[in-house]
Amino acid sequence: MKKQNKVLIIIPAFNEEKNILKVCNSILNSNKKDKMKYDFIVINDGSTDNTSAILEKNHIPHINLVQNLGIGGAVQTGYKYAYINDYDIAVQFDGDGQHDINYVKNIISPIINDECDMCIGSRFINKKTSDFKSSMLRRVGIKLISIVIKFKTHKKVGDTTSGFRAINKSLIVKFAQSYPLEYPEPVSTTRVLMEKYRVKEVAVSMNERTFGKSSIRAWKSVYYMINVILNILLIRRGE
Amino acid sequence: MSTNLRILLIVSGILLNIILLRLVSKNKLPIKYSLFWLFSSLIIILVGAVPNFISLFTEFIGFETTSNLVVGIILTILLIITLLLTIIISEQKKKITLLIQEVSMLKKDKK
Repeated sequence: MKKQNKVLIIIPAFNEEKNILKVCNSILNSNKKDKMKYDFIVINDGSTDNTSAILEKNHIPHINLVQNLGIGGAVQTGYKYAYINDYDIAVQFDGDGQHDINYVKNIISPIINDECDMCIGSRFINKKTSDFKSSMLRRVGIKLISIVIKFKTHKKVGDTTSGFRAINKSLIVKFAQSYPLEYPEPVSTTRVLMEKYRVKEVAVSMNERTFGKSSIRAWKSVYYMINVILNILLIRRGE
Repeated sequence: MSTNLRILLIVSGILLNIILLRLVSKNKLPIKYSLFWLFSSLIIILVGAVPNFISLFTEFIGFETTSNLVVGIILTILLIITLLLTIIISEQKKKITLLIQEVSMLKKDKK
């Protein structure tokens, strides 16, 4: 019989007191119903609200970052934890309720079958699966990043900013050592593609954020785009 | 270039030099970071001490007066120092990030 893969779900959370418990309970419920069991860990990115107290009170496995690091540093902490504890697959999963636990299966199955090293959950593959496609402006931005990645790596990535992704062990090792702190999703995807890892996308559905605002705000988006595109264009192999 | 400006340049260059050397000897400034500053202060003294040499450049580059060139030189020095500072800050940010991650993970294990 094939060895069961150890799967860790990494949940970065910054000031998510309203959402985090729901997200964790959805994972616990799925573990009860499903054959497939997921470990998970919340990376509390120096939240200033009650996130830490809620995690403590409900005995949710978590790491409290002593200072705020931003999404890149928080997720990398999860990858380091996955590396130290010898996990085979690490799934990045948002702490704000945007992602649906039922799709984790779909995201990790290409990795279990060794079809790819990184699997990205995309909102744009299947028109029906996702009600939430985010605003027009955001979609244009994502498309633009996609074009830049295509230009740089000659590979197509649709949902370039998706924070719903799974990676296998070889990438856990790599990301534990080095992970971009700024604009981590598109930048790390490009780096991975340039080093000839296999990246695949599967269709997922994402919900509208239950509470709070996305970290990418409208007035910051132009600044964000310039930074991301420059950053991607300047990536060199082996960094 | 007026004599007054030359004196000002030489005196401030020497003062900067003395301050820098004192900071290094008191361990307040690592020698690694002081070298560029020392080099800059020497340039300032040189500009004040040998104005003929500088006025050659003035015409060549297209500055109207030598004093403008002096301002340009100091501006360039400042720009380079700021760039070096930004690089140092970025390196430190990486180190701090690593520290925060490791300390946070240690704290989890302790519980």
